[in-house]
Amino acid sequence: MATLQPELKANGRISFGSLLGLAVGLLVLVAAVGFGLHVLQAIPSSEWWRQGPSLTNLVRLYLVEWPASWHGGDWGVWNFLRPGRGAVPVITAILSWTIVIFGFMLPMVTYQIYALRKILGFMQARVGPTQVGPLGLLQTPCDVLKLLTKEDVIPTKADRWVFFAAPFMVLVPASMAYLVIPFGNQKIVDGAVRYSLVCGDLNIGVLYLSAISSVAVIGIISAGWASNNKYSLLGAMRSAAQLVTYEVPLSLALLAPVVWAGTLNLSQFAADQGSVWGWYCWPNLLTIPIFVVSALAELGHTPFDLAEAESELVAGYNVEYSGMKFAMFFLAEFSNAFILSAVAVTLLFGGWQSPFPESWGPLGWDAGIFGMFWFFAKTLAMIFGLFWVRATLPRMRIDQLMGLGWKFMIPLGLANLLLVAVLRVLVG
Amino acid sequence: MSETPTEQVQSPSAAVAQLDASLRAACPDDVLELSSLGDSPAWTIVPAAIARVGARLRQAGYDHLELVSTVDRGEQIEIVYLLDSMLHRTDPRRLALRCVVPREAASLPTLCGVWRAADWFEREAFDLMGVTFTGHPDPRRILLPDQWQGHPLRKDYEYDSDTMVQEILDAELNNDDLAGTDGHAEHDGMVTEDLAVNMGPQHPSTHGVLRLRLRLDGEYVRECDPDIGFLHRAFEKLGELKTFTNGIPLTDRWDYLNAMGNNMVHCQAVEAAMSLEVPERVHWTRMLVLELNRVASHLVFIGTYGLDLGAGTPFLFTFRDRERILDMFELLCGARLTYNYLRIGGVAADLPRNFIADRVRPFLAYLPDRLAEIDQLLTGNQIFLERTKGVGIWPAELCVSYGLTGPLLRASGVARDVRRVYPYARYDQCEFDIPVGENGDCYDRYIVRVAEIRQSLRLLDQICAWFEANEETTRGQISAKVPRVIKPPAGEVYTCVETPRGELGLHLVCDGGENPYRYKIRRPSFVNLGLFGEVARDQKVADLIAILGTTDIVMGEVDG
Amino acid sequence: MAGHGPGPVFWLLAAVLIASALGVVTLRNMVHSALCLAVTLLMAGGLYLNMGADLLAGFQVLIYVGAVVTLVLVAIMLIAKIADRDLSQTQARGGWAAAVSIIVWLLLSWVLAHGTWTPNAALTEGGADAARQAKALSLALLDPYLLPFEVASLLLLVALMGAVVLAQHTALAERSDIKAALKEGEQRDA
Repeated sequence: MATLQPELKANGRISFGSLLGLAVGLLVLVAAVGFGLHVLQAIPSSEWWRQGPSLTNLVRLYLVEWPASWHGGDWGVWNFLRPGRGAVPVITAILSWTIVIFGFMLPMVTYQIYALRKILGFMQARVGPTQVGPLGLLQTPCDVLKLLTKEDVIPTKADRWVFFAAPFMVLVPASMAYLVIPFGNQKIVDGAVRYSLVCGDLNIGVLYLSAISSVAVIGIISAGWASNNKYSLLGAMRSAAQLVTYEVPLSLALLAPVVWAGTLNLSQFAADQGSVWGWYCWPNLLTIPIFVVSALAELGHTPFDLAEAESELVAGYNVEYSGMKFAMFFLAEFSNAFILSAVAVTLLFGGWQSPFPESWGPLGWDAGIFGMFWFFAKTLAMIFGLFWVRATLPRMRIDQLMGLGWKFMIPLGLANLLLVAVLRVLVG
Repeated sequence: MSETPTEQVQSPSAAVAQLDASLRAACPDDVLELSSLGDSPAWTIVPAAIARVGARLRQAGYDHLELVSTVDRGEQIEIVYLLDSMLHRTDPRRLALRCVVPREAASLPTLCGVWRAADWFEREAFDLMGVTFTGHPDPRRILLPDQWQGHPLRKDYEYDSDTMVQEILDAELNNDDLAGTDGHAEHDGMVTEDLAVNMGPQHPSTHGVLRLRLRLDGEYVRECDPDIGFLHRAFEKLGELKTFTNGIPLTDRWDYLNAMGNNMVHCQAVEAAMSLEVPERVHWTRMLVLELNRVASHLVFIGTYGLDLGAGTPFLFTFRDRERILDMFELLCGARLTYNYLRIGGVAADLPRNFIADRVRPFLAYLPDRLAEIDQLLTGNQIFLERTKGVGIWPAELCVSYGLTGPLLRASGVARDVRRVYPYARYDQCEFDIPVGENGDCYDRYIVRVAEIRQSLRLLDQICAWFEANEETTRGQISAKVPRVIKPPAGEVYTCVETPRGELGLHLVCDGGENPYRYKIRRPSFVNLGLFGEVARDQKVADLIAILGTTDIVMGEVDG
Repeated sequence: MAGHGPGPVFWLLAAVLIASALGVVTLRNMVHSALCLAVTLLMAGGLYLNMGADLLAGFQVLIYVGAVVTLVLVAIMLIAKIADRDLSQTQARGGWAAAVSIIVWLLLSWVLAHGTWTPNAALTEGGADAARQAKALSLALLDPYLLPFEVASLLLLVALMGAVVLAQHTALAERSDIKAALKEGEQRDA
């Protein structure tokens, strides 16, 4: 028995390097805390606090106007780099988007994977992850850690640059979509933005979403190519064909509420839909199934998941990827699921608006954090619906899938567009 | 959808004499003598004339080649053909043909032109016994690697394992082109390429270690060559080395989803060889476990077929329900998969007290609703129907020609079930229907098995009723009087049972000793898979999985 | 940001655009070249955004990068991998190509600088509002520019039909009823 235990012997001395590192670390910690306290103490007396502590004002005061005032406002030959007032919305959008991605998207996708496994488990008469952490809640973070520490295998004759770039080409569009999703309302007082729960209030919101999701297809094709595997290239081509096919009905399904609302701006969509009876889903009843089917196909969920099907002969496009690159494909897929659900909720189901009228008190509030609550509730309900479909249906064959897309969904989408346009004209 | 087929006809010897006379008239120099194999007549035929005689018999209505068995008789090798009739009414229903060839020059004409089932049977006979069949379209080894030397089932078989295994490994490891080379085809002036692809032996959908060498033209399969033998465990040779009782645990491992059926065919064969009568209770106990095993096996099929097509949920539901059956078996014999429950002359242990009332009856009440729910998830689903209806249509003549049996054959419209045609245990005293399909497509093969579960439940109901009526009077009678050392008299016998995969048969040749002399297993999955190379042609790759799933093969049985 | 002369964003986009355009024509590996094309077109979209043409930028990315480059990539990859042909760009006649490109560039620059460009009042009244831009654009397509619009859709229809015919070519030739009809025709002529 004793020989089975490895012998752990410390040699009793602490190295100089570790002491030095400890000292430096402590110094940095103290400095950071001191600076933070100084900043925090200075905030209530700062200009920023006086003008209204929003992110926009923070960016305007400290990231645009203050650098612009260096050197007396004249940067000489570098004047073309000097930030103007137009830089404020851009920098605010980028900053808030970064916060959303790192503070929201990554944890959100992690727990979406956990939710999928639990929901699928309960629907299949089993329990899903239970061991790691209470109720298995730490399962996905541990899986992510595992993927991070895995060896990053690159096939011998693979195209290194494209192999490296492909996961980014898929993940970046999926992240960029968070720029236009209205998580809540915007409060604009006297022309100045008080707070805004949308990262970037783009006037071409819907078009922007279509455009960047079409870029992701290139990423998938490149992934299949870069693996130097004939069958994974064929699988990637099939996936790409599926994505390109269903982009059209998806765009048509997105266009119908746009025609009804008369705007492409997503935050305006959410703001315009008032009470439940004013939600855009009522004139768009046919749009809902078209959207759901096209979304399932765009996401590669069952019944359209032949790209990930293990029982298919042709391998999928991500078969040669391991470690973090594989994790990025997965992240992109679940992120897309959230985006499409959020878009459906915004365009059709009132966005962050509460389904209850204002007269019902707290249930009817939808400003600020209450709006965010309603937004998440509706989006998560839709995601649950997508998972439910995933648990129930078998898989379609590639030719049946393409036939459904071209011969059925597109004519239906066009007819729906016509219908909504006619309704819009009739209702005025 | 179900049919009750016709029964067997009357006085055997008159019919045999008639057939004998007509055969000798048609092929005067070829028929040598008339003997018997168990209950069936057996004619010894001149080897060179076997194809002629076979064709004559085929015309007379013997459309099913049940088995091609080889026996090493020392100086000579005897080849035994068992013929049966499916679509026609012949009298006698089953007969045997024997050919005797000298050991050193073991060769005779092939029967591939008469019965397509002969294809794989003869390849196996060549592989394991060294009998060559002239005119065979594909005379390769089937179970053992191509580089194997010698024929293991011969009584004088010896081999130098080290050098031979090294040669085989070298050949496999240095072969870069395992699937074959890509080919070219010309379409109207445009040269396109065929892809040579390997599917398996590790693949989630091949249900075990099956390797399919495919040649694809775009989405269509142009050629499909199944490569089996990865799970070959030499059961036939082992059967000769074990005593009759010690061989029973081995039988569990053939078709491990239907271990009770495997036990049954072994015990039934030995009991027939010994002319042993088993007590009444034993018959009903055996029927109980056989039908429960059939339900369990078909539940596995439903679940895994749904999984192949992408529906993950029915898989878990069917396995949950199958757990109940496995719990019952665990109570009965202590094991969940390899039961070793049946014995020569009886069963190993009696049913626990209140087994029927506490376990089987509640299960019979529980399953129909669950089955409806699981079925609804699949049969009620438009996507499932589109993937299975009209896909992989197998006409009845093709199936019969390839020797198919079991649900695969019944889905194509042929109502044949061994429990009706050659009843064993007490199946002739029970009422049940035989579900039959209409079109022979994947959907029919699926729905026939679902219907068979319901028929098994009906049988189980009758079996439970018998037990409830006869519990006190027969309790404890679990075995006939069997000698301590089982030595059946010299002779041969062939028996078969109906398993969830088809007709499982055992051709047992005894020489009066403690071990069998020849232990030939007629494995239904092996025969059923022989069809696959042909029906896979010109199918879409995506449909290939759907069709392979419906064959419901178990590789343990395919490879033997 | 719009209308203040070329700012830092413009220079950044232009630099990346030129670099990737150079990449398109000089890289040996065709797949890399096609991906650089995607970057080039993306940068062009960025330039449209910089000028305030939101809608056009969206269309540029959606159609050019999302569809055209995808198609180009699919074609290149299938030929290179499945048909195992070696696709690499050579720099043969690079000198001539450079010369012609520079001449065309000079010509275009002269035309752009010296031509009279009057902005279409209807199209520019939309300003930054994408919805009004869309309305102005669609009204323009249906009224003053109807003929080019219809001609373009006719062209697309012809292309679609041609693609279907090419893809069906083999299948049609192998259909038994068509074969029989052809044979019958031949026999009658003989």
